[in-house]
Parts: sequence; C-alpha cells; structure tokens
Amino acid sequence: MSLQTLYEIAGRDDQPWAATRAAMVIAITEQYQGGGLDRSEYLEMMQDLVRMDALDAEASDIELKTMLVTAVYAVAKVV
Amino acid sequence: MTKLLAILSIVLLQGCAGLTGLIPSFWDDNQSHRIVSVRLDIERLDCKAQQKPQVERIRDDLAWFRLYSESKGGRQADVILLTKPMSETVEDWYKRVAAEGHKDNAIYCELKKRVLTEQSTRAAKAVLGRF
Repeated sequence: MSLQTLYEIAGRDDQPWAATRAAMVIAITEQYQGGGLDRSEYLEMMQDLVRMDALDAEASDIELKTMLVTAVYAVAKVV
Repeated sequence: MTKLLAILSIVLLQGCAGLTGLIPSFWDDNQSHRIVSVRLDIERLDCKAQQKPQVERIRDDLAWFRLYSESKGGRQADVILLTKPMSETVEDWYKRVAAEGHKDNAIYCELKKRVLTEQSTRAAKAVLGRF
C-alpha cells in the first residue's frame, strides 16, 4: 500500500477508526523517512499498530458479550 | 409473545457460548478506577521531561490491573487479554528507557503517546461499558 492510498483513507469521514489508523501509519512512516525514528523504533511502532488490532478485537468481543447479557437479562425480566 | 422471548433468550445465550464459550467478566470498581488511571498517566505524558519515571508509572498501573484481575480469579480472562497489547507496547518502551546509555527521543515518545492514547481509550470504554 502506498502512502497516497493511506492519505486517502486518512481523509475519509465514513470510517473514523480507519482514518485514525492510517493517519498514525503516515505519521510514523514520515518520521522514519525524515530521520526522527531509527529503524528499530519504526518497526516497534508498526508492531504497536498490529497490537492495536488485537486490542480492538478483544474490546469488541467484551462489548458484544455485554450487549448479549444485557439483552438476555432484559428478556428474562419481561418473561 | 412469551414463547418468542424465551426462544430469543436461548438463541442469544447459544450465540454467546459460540463466540467464546465463556461468560463475560462483569463490572468491577477497582478495574474501572485503574484503567482510568492508566488513561490519566498517558494523558499527562510530557515528552520534554524524562521519560523513564513516566513510563514506569503506566507500567505499574497496568501491572496492578493484571495482578488484581488474576487474583480475582474466574472470568477475568477477557480483561487480562484486553490490556495485554497495551502492556506489550509499554514494555517495549520501558526496555528502551531502562537500557544503559539510553537517550530520550521526543518524537518516539509523542508517537508512543498517540498509540497508547488510542489503545487506552478503547480499553477503558470496554472495561467501563460492562454490565
């Protein structure tokens, strides 16, 4: 994926999470290319973004389970 | 109508079991307080100041959260897994700042702060949003 594609994603309003993530990749890459980060720092930051996906998945799972418990509790009260 | 609601309950419960096979963890005052402390530590990060004590503070708060959750026992696996990526992000940073001869890099710090802000915001929303 080119930086141009990332700029396009970063400018999208319909997918705020993707825009935020793309903006981060751009910021990290630009700092690396400009000498603000060394290679190991750059690779570590990219690994952090991968970790963010794992955290997102876990958070979504907890939120979904909470929704289900809330719904079942509500249904049980009605029944 | 009652039958329909009963069927819906069963479907929802089966779906939940199919997702993880586990009952989720529930609201906990201490976990909620600590995850907000992590957010506060990150929000207060000053990249112009010495990084090591600031990173240690985040690391300690995350360790507290993990140890408390482990000690609490059953059904806390989801919140432990939730904070694991954040702990790894902080641990990498800590290894750098704790290394002999390390020199703080403000740009690296600002980017780490940005990543951790995203991670902690998402994690806190999930922890505080529980039933």
